[in-house]
Amino acid sequence: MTTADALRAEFDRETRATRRYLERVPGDRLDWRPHQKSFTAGELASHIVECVRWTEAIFNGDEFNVDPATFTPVRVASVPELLDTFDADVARSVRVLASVGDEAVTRPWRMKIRGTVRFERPKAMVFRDFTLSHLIHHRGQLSVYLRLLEVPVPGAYGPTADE
Amino acid sequence: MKLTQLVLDELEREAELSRRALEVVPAGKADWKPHERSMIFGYLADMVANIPNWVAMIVTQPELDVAPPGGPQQKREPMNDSAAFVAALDKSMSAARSALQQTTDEHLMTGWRLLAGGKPVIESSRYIMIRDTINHWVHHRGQMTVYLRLMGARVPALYGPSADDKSF
Repeated sequence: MTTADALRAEFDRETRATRRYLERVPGDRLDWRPHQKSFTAGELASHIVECVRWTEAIFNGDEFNVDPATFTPVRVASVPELLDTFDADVARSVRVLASVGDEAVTRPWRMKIRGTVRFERPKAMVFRDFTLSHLIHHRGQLSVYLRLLEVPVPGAYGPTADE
Repeated sequence: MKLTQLVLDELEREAELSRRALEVVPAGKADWKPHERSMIFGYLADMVANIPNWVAMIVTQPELDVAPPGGPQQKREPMNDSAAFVAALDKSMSAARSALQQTTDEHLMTGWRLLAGGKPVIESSRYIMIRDTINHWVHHRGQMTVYLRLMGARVPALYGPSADDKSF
């Protein structure tokens, strides 16, 4: 198994698990937040879609420049829109990943903020970090939101109190 | 690209993020939980500090029984402040680092088993098991950041800025 194969398999596994969480977000509680400083449930779920979207930026180019002043975050207004956006982003990412080989994953990728290089790392590392771990981090947060919203929590890596 | 190096680099990066989360653990809140069906905070923070030990076990041992037929092995003393959690993380990372530095990509592709009560639950390559372990670590650390927010702690920036730390 090559590193690229391993990353593809992992992306499939994690996005499948993530969809089960997103399906359970209650449509009438998208404005709910557990604390005044927290994301709302809708913002958190939208941000999870954004994690998937990094895949294209990582593998279709060798750098990405962010200007926080003009960056517009993904925001969905309903659960059907959330799932449609997620599915479309996953499908695009799968197409991008299909053509990635072992040479591509070792290429350096630069993150720039307002034109200044923030870091440079191999693409495999950036993908693990910005897409997969980032997604799993926020999905972990979403699991606590679901619990607090009295929604049965799906298992991710082991049993939950509900499954 | 060498898998051992990829895993090691990623483990180091995730350990840094885990350290940030463990450094702000409020003392004496181990029994707190946000919902009656949730895990207690102390258990969650214990996993965030100790999961790198699982990586070491996957590399160096043939299998692990999470519920051995002879009953659980001796319990660890519960940790109750940030210094104890950070020290546990340092120790578990040291074990994971040392195991990965002494292994090979070929060994990571060999099989490994997770058992419960003597019965196999998961059989997969060591590499896949390590990957799942890192993901599992990130999952529980994500949960922990919501607990920290609800407990009134200062939430550190991890993959991006938090409401308390915009410096990212």
